[in-house]
Amino acid sequence: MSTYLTIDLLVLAIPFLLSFDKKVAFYRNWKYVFPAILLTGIFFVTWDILFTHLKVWNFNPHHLTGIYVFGLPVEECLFFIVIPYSSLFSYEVIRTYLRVHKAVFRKYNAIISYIFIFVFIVLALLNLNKIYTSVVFLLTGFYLFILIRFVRAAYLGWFYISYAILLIPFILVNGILTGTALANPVVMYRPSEIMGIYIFTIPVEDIAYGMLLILMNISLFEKFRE
Amino acid sequence: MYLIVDFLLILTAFLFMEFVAWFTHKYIMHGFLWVLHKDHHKEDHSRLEKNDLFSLIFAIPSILLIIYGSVNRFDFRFWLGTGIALYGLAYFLYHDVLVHRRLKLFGDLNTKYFRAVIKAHYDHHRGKKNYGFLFMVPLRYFREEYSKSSR
Repeated sequence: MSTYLTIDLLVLAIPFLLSFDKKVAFYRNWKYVFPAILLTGIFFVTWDILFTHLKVWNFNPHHLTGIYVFGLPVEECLFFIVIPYSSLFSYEVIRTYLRVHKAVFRKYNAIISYIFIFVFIVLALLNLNKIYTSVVFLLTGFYLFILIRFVRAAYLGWFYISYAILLIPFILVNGILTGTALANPVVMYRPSEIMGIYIFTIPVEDIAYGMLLILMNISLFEKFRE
Repeated sequence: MYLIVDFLLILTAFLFMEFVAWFTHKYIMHGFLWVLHKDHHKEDHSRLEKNDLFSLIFAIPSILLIIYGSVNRFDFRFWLGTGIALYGLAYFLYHDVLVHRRLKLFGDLNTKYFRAVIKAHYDHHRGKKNYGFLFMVPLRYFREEYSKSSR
């Protein structure tokens, strides 16, 4: 089995098994979870095909099974199922167990979001000559702006807490993919299209990328559940 | 083609600056830098205000981008800096000249659009919450003006 496929399956394993526990009973949400994953997946796979085609990033065949879907390694397509599934599961668990008073969110949701939007858009505009940097920060900033200003998403507070916690497994998984513990990385980025600021081996752009991926899933999940 | 891209860069910076102005106004000027903004919320606007320092602060990124862009063969940074500068100009003409009449430059710009945004800003000075300037203004101000029969 390829390295990347092993990572995908490890990411999915525990959240999937724990989906049937009694308190959270995540499986009861499947009818909202899968449409959210599917819609977000279509967007991200399209983006991924485009960026792979533009050689913004590429995949090391050494770590792949060799099966390709829409020109992408099958492992990369599975990534957009297993990461959202695990993230939505974690989000639900955090919402169930962590008691935070709603007023806390009402107070800080907007200001936190607008700071992110400001920082992201500024980073995008200052790096318009780098495709990954500009696109990922622009899209994430814009999506966040729509959610806070027009959707008035009250769950954003839960999202920020969840994403802060999820950054730990995120850095672990993405670290391995970008070569922190491997002799050669699974995914390689073209240096001219990123800022060149790294967390271990992870380009800092990936923090916004992961944020958009999970945010899009959570927002659609919440929309379907309404 | 390049002209279109340059124009889009100016437009993007211009639009983004309204967001920045709105954000700064709501969370910073009416937040921890209220001490600089306070004198703008009095009756008389003719003299220099501490609040005018904000235009200097906003000019810094614009100046830096224009310099940095112009020594790099007028790349995108130059046009972004230009967009910020143009927003500053538009803001000054709208906010300081048209709304608060600090310079007696033009007569009244009596269009529906300006009546709407000027009314929104007066309402802000009367204690209403809206913090936007050129267009990040609650929709009802535009709805009100545009629903009046044209004179």
